Amino acid sequence: MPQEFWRWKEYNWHAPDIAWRNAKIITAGVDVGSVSTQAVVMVDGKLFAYANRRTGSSSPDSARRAMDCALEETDLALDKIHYVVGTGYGRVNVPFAHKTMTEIACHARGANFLYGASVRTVLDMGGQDCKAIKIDAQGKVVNFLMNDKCAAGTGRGLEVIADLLQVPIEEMGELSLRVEKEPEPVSSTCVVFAKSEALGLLRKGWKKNDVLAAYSRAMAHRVAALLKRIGIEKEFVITGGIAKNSGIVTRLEKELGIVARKPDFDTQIAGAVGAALIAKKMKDER
Amino acid sequence: MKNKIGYLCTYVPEEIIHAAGFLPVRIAPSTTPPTRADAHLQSYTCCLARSCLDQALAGRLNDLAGVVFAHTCDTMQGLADIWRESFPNLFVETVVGPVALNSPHAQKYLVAELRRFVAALEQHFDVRVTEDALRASIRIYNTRRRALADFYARRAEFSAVQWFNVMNKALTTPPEAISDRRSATSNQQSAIENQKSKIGVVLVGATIDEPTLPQILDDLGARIVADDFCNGARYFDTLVAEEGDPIEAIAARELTRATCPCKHRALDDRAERLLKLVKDNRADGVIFYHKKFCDPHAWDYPPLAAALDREKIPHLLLEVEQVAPVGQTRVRVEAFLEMLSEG
Repeated sequence: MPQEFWRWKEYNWHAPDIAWRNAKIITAGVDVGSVSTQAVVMVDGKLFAYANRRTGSSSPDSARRAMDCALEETDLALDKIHYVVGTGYGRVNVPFAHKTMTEIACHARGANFLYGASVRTVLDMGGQDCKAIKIDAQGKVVNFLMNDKCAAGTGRGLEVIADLLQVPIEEMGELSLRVEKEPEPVSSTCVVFAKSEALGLLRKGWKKNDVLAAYSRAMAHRVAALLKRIGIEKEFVITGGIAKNSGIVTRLEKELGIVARKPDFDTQIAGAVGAALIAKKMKDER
Repeated sequence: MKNKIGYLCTYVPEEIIHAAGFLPVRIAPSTTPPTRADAHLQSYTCCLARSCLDQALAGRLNDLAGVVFAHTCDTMQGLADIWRESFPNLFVETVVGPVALNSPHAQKYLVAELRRFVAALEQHFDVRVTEDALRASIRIYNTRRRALADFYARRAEFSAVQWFNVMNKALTTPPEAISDRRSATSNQQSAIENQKSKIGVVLVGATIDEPTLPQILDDLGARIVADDFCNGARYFDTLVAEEGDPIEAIAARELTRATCPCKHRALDDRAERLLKLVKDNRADGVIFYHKKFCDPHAWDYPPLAAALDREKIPHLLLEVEQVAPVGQTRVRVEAFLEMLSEG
């Protein structure tokens, strides 16, 4: 089988030292995105287990697979979880969810938990869209903006370019930064047009790194426009899969003149973490 | 003889068309993507212009004896010319009303323009538009506007989709059909469940022509507490005086009704009206429902948004083409409603 350059690693994690049997409340969040699905389990508001998987053609199956994967190496069973919130574009199709919330509210809450209460602006760069969210100290949404309906400047777009250039998706960011001179951005971030533009550059004899740089710069520029429209307040953080691409993050920071807080966790789980926290709040209030 | 005359904008005086013996019907965009209209209009013209022209070119408006435009935006002006050239035998007229409604000459000018329009109708169709007929038509349309206002006053009892259906049906049916509240809402079972919902929103835009957004609001348990649409409250918010010269009275209504962004009354006219709509109806937020490429509403948006910001009233901007994409629209609206709700 030929190498699939776009394919990022699916994985799970669990906290070895949390005894869920003594817990007061166990909640979960499942974020069924257009490209990836995460399930996060929290025990008394602490991260207990999570998994990150690709979304398949069926949202219910994707949700189940992610949850099974999160619980796989633990002795916790799904029916022991008190409350589950579904989020993401497939949120209404999480079969075991008690309630749904939009990924906007969940990323806001998740960013507040993972990065801290000083966060005021969250950029969620996801698989198929992009959201600029302003939040308060409690992680509640104050205002938000979403990009247009096309896949420009999104994870799916990156996957397409990874495949075209035959560069593993995890390495794209670093490679794009290794250029002698920053090239002009590609003129289009529409995935289809950008792909043909990138092909054109390759034919002209451009190096992969330069093509990557040109594409990353265009993506950063487009996302920066979204953030400028909503107005950036410190602290600024990025969630979602693209936060892991240093090429785009660096260029975005440069264009905005602001540094994003660096995460010490997987930014892709922010939405599901937020959903699990909202689940806890909902359960507490019942 | 064909007895209907189509119009695209509610600045077209229905009463005059009606008094000339025709049924004025609003031409509304359909949900079918245009194909024929693309030969005449760029893809960056609004879906209203493209879809309405497309229906005409497809022969779906062949039952119309004429089409009347009002001078509002550039697109409508251009569209009137394309229509005239595409259907040389059709009665196509543009009523060129004043833009500066606060001008001391606006009334006099509009009266002259309306009289010119009356003469054009009379000449083309060989009819007489009498003062008596005008007075009768004014009464009929006032009755319909009152019925719609009455329905509107009780809108809390109805779902957003029902509100949408009533408004959209009203402008395409004979005015006599909707003469009281009961007929305005016949076939409409009151949506009791809707009364439970807590979040109230004001909708603002040019026209709303397909029910995706109302359906989403119903699904999420939000209520439309007021609107500022051409085919919504702006249509019936002001009546025509039933005394005095009828043409003078029709002109006076056009100058005093709630303004559309193509008209000017005062710098903060629309912002003040919007703030009043929010306060009077105790709305939690505002949803701007814009048609893509609609310049007048896009130009008005920044000052309206700023006015809302000053009053700390949350708002959401939706830009849609012919049919709002369900998933994309729903996530925006749902996140907005989550933002408005406590907790």
